Amino acid sequence: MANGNRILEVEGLRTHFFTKAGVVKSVDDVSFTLDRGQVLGLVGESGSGKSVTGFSIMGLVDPPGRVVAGRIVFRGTDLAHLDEEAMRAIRGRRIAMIFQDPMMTLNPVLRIDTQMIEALQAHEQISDDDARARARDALGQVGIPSPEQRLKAYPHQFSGGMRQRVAIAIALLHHPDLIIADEPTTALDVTIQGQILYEVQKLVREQGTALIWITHDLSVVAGLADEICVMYAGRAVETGHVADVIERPLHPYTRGLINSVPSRNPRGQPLRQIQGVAPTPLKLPPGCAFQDRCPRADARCHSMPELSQPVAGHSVRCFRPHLEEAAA
Amino acid sequence: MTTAAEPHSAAPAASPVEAAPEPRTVSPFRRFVDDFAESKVAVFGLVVLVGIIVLAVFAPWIAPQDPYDLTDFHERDARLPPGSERLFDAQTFTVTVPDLVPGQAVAIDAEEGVSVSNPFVDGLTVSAVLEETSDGRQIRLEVAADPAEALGLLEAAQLEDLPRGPTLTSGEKHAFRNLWTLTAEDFQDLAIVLPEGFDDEIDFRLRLTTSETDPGFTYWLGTDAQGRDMLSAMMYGLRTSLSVGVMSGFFALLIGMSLGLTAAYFGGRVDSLIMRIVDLQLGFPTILVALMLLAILGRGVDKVIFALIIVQWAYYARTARSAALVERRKEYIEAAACLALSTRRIIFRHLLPNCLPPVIVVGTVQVANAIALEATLSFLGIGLPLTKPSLGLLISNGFDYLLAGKYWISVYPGVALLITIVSINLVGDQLRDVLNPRLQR
Amino acid sequence: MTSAAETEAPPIVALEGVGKRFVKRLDVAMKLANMLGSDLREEVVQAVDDVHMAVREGEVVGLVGESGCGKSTLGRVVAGVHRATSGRMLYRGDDVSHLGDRAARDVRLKIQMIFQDPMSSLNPRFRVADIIGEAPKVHGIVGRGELDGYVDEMMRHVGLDASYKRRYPHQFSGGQRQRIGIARALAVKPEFLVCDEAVAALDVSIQAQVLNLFMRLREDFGLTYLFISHDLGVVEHLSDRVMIMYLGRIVEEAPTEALFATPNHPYTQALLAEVPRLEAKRRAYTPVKGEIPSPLNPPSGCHFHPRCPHALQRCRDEAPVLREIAPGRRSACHLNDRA
Repeated sequence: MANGNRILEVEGLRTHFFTKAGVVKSVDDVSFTLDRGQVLGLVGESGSGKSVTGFSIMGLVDPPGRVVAGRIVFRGTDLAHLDEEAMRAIRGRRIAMIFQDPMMTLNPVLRIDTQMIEALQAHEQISDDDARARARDALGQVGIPSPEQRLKAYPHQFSGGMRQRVAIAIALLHHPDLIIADEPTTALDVTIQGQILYEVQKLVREQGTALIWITHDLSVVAGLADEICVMYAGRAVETGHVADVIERPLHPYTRGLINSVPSRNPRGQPLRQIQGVAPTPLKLPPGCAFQDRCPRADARCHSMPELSQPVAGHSVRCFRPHLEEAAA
Repeated sequence: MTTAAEPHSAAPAASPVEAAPEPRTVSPFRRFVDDFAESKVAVFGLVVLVGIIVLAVFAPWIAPQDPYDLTDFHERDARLPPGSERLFDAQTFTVTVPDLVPGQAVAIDAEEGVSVSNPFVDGLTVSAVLEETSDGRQIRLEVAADPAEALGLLEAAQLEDLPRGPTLTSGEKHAFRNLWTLTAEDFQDLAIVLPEGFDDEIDFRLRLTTSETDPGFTYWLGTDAQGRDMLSAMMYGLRTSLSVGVMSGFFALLIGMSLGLTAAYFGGRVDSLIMRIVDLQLGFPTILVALMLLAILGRGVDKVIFALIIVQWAYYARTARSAALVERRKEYIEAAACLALSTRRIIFRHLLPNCLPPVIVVGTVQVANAIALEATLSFLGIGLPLTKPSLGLLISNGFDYLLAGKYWISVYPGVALLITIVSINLVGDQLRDVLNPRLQR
Repeated sequence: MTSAAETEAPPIVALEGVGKRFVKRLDVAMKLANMLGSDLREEVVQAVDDVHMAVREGEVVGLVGESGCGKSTLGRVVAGVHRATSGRMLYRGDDVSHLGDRAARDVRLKIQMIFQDPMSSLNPRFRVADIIGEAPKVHGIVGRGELDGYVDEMMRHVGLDASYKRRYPHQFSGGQRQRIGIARALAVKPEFLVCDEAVAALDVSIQAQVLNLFMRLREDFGLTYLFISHDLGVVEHLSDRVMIMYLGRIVEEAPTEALFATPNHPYTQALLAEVPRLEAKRRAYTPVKGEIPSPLNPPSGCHFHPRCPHALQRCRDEAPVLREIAPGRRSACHLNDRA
């Protein structure tokens, strides 16, 4: 436990939304740890609770949502029980967030330099000139050409990929310990996504920042992450080292996802699809949420499986994990 | 195949699939109603608005008075404060009694002093019966009324010129004149007692006086300068105001929406032309345009409606165009084009219904605006004619008396106008929230 | 599938030099501003530039490119949503712009489109039965009495429970909505489907289901596809032939296996290098430099030259033509001339 490199430890996190129609358990028992310089891929489909997990760590869950249980220990402090004042000092400074739409962080009517200098001065006593120099360096770091001139531009004068780079540069301004990136490349083209992934990979390696990369696309994190946490219907169903999860998935859902990717199927043949659709969050079946779509489900699956660790460093929430193949 | 994996049927069903309940169909309208009901304030506004509309629509049947019927109100009731009862002139009837035959009732009609403003007078009759009693002969006098409540209006009576000899069973005789004063109670049991051997013709006059106020008719909100019941006038005024607002709004919507859709669908020069006219129109202050139009056209309901259409259509056109521009780019319109559906079908069956929500929102707000604008015009004296009292006209009528402390003539129509406009806006605000595509869940 | 069949029957759809330009004209205010000395010009986007292609019956052609490359516009030209501003489109050998009203309508119905956004591609005010049944009813494809059964049949074909046909689109999940869109297209008995990013908006596990549906329908109905996507993995799996588009032009065309094995055009090579692969090894991403240029102001010569690692002076001056480099393979790159 006394790990000096430990940045984040999320344990038993539950974030529920108390809507009129009922309680939506968006995040229901999610645990993972993250060390300095590590990249965690948080993977799931829409509605799996991956984004809400990110927001919960940032303390940005708005009513009717609430973190109802669990610990979010960030460098020794439990963020789940921190007041707003203390949270604000950490947010943006020690933990930064990057969104799918960079316009979530950028103000369309302010110039980039104004926004970046403001962001710096919000947390640090720093002169305008120093702040500007830091902002320029940050833009250079994320690969924006001629940063001095680009500082004077407005967000709309950037292309989508460049805007995302600016958002990343702003996130990097304070050299945070942790960056939470919520589908930052989903809206971008393949070549632009490649550029962003390249920059992020470089930065994480150089600065030792821990990174949570939230995505629906396993193949994006396959080449980027150290650890992968797969979520389904609010629950972490499988966590482990990237190679283990991708090559020897234990949970039938993870396995189904990987098998349905076209490149893992013989060309022109029907894809090995997961049948059915994800259950609505208000009407989760008792027990395992995946049971209705699972080819291996049996009577046991009507009760809730706990996370177990059949293989060292590779945990799974399933009564019947694919252990036989994993051993092979 | 994934038919069985529909979210609702995904429950651990041990029974065959056939047992699944009939799928619930939530129509967009039903969803809209549910969303609307989420705001208590808006529902309250809707209830008030419906109440106002009912009052306005059924005004001729539920209003205590017809403010257009000049014979139904009287100058003497003018400017009565709220809660006053209706006034009459004191009525005097002179009755001359003819030859009386014992045992036979004779109806004696009131001859004079019949006033039209008292609805009960026509039914007031006096009958006299000569009867033999153990005490001797007497003439019993009875007053009857049709309807019976009208008897309550009878306040006092005088009996004059009774021949010497006969006396009255009740009432009070004047100290020295041949004059009996009778109260309403005296008529309970009133008779002229004839002395023994009295054979002369009886020749007397009965003067009946009715009350000055009508206890059955109260001006709950007072009366205006013409003696009209304010409550009735306001109900009719609401009727006028609402119908002017709704009609102008409806026609402005029709015109504006067709022009807006045309502009959006065809684009190019047609679009430019229509939208420049819209810009021009919106550049002028609304009230100024309406004032100028009415100055040229003159007063009248049709002219006010016309003026309101002219000043309003541009809002609808602009809204419909922007909505249509958004909808037109959606893929279901392209899909309809792919399916080789006709342009007319695409515009009217696909495009138009989906452009309606924002136009309806603008419509509610614009109807409220039209009502306020009509009130303003009428207040300024160039809107509706005096024979068509709208709320604005009522406010204007009472304005002169406001400083004289007769607040009710202006204030109550003003409050009615306020409530109407606020309730329409409450409904409109919620409509905007519910129909706003950006807030759509 | 081989080029031997090419000479016999005319391709089901052929484009000859098709171009599509969008012009944003100056309005009065802008013309006035120009008179006063400002320099506003009409904005012209050549979304599709001189495209030649032929799709043979029963084939699946993948069309790949990044955003703004004109692949969706090209798909819409084929589907008849947009009218080409230059060139001709032939359907089974007939020029579609010279057809009579009835014949033009029939051709239109034979080519249907599946859209990207399952949310906006269905009219929110129609019930599923009306969405699917409207066109068959209007065009008299089925009789009045048979419409109900026909709609049920279409829903079954795409794997939807026919008892849901009284529902509205918003009551369905994304994957089911996409199925409704497919049923709507199938209901007019098409021969050719243009699928414009048809699975891009769906969840990963649903994507596979819809892709499988496309493959099954192809066999059941003998359909021909133009499959537009940015996702190379999907295109590789599904297509017989792939075309790569960059800024309005087709830069490379090849049978799928050949293209993925030996990409010829530098842009194709870059694209293939960028594709995230489901392999659990840390990849050193080596990105292509530069951004996608604005289609409003494309680079001279070969549009790709500012980002191309092999660009020559000639690439700046002269646009390369799409030339055959091997049987069934075409590429538009000057580098091929050097060999």
